[in-house]
Amino acid sequence: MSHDVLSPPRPLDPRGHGARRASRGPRQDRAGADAAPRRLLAPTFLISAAFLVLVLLWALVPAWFTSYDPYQSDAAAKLLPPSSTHLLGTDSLGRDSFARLVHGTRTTLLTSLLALTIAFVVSSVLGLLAGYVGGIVDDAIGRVIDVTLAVPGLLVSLMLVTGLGFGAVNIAIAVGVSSIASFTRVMRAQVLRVRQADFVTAAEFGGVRFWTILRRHVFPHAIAPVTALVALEFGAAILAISALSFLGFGAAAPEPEWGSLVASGRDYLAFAWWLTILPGTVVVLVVLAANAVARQIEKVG
Amino acid sequence: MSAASATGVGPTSVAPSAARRRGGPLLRYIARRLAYAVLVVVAAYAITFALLWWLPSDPVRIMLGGQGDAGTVDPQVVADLTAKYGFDQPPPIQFLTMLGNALQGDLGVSIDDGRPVAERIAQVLPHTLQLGVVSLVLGFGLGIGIGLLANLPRSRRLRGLLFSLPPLVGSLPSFLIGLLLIQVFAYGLSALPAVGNDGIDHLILPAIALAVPTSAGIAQVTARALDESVKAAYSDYLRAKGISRRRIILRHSLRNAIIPATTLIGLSVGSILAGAVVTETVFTRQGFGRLMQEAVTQQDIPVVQGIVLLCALLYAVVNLLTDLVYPLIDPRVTLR
Repeated sequence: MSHDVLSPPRPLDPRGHGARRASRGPRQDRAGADAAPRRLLAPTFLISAAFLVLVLLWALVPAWFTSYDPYQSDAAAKLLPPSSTHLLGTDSLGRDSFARLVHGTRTTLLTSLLALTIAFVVSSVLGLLAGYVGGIVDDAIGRVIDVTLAVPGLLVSLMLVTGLGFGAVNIAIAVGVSSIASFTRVMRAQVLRVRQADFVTAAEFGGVRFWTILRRHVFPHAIAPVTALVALEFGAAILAISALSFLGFGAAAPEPEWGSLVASGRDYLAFAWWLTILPGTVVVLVVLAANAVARQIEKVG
Repeated sequence: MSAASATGVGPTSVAPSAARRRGGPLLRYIARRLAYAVLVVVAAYAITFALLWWLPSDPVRIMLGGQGDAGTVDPQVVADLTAKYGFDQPPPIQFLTMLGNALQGDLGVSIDDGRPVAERIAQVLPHTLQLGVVSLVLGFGLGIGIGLLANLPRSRRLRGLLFSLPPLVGSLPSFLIGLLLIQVFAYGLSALPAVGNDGIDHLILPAIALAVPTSAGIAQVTARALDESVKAAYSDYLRAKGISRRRIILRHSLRNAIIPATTLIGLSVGSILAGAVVTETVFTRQGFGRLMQEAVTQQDIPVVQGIVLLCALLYAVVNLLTDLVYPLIDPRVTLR
């Protein structure tokens, strides 16, 4: 505690270390440093993080969690309810639903990750240009974003899917592009703030090249709030991806994927509800966990 | 709109009458909002053009994809189609032609069944409008109700619990809400039909499925606005006068807290239109959401484009109306 009182508030550091503290005053800064360890032990956060790690392991080493083959059908075990041998029951072809869920994790997570990467990279470039260059560039980018926001994200994704065709990669691109607009807004606002800093002016007068200023001086300071947004958008990306694959535009038929798992169980809802509701619940839990972790990143960071 | 701005009071007009002075800014405000709405719709149409017709893919190939193997298609057919849709023209010309046709109500012809797109959309539109209006009203009622409920209890813990409810609901995939409703009310309780679209009882479940995600956002905003307004100085004053917390919220804070919720109408219309794609598919209801799903499945580009244009149009109109009504709800907002 005492060293916190003695040390002066850290200014914006051109090397980027102070980036996260940039937006906070010294008082909040101390409170954050005090509360951080306690918040990390908050039960909601711990459970959420543990669950996400489990899901990550499903994606990395699915064989650890289930001995069933997700493609192997068994005519003698069709539409069985959940039991100790089949945790989530079996589908209409007698395939183990839990095995399909676990093996489908990789596709869903990779697709969401690809979507976020696309959104993040493109919006970083657009946000940096709009915020730093300003003027006509800012106006042009701003108008396009305004218009894109007038069409709901799902419809933008569906348009892209129509043009690009179906499949996991294409829906990732579609979801990624449809979230560029909201990301760019946040990035631009941050860049506008950082641009005023003295070290940016100093770099400009020192003759540092344009792209170097953006990359080394502006970007690292503008990135922190966007990082929290990325964590939050991870849940949204999973929702969008599973909605698109629920509608039938995702990975091709036999390949397991969360959204298509829910969709394929839909026809048996009346007498085998577990096929849809249980995988659907897993999607909800992952989204909730991702949101809880995102909030924590926002608070601690 | 140019007519409207011409009648407005410009900086050069000499000694305007009192009536014109009052009417001028309003007309100019309306004109500017209207111009902006038109701009948004045209620009949205340009984006649909860029994404659907101009993307790396070949629209002719996509159109023929459904009718057989692309390799077996007669090159003459390809050339005819290319000429028919004007793909041999440069993109800007293609866009202007398309925009001109759209302004005359001609949205092209569906690739799937050869009927005009406008006709196909008009046929299913009433179903979606019915569903949309019901779920919008339901969503606002539910959202404001939950926002209100989250502020009423004395217990801090109960309030915290109610405050955390809307974000939780927001994390539910829309298809799961629909499927849960079907499972519980249609198959479990046999109270309501699961699929189809005639009569009021077929409307209830899909309307709830669409209203729930909409209400989450509204509840969040209302709850926060109410909370702020309860903590405002005028509430302390009322409190000191001996008025109960409940009465302050219902009589004084609610009026202020509803204002931020009204700004969400445009956004909610957008989310309901997008949600209709999923919900109408889940409930096998007719409507343009399901038409959209089918059109994307068949890569029926003109239909997809028509639906997106309609959504942008609805969004622009709703936002225009909200902008115009806003000063009436909140007298502090001045027209500019």
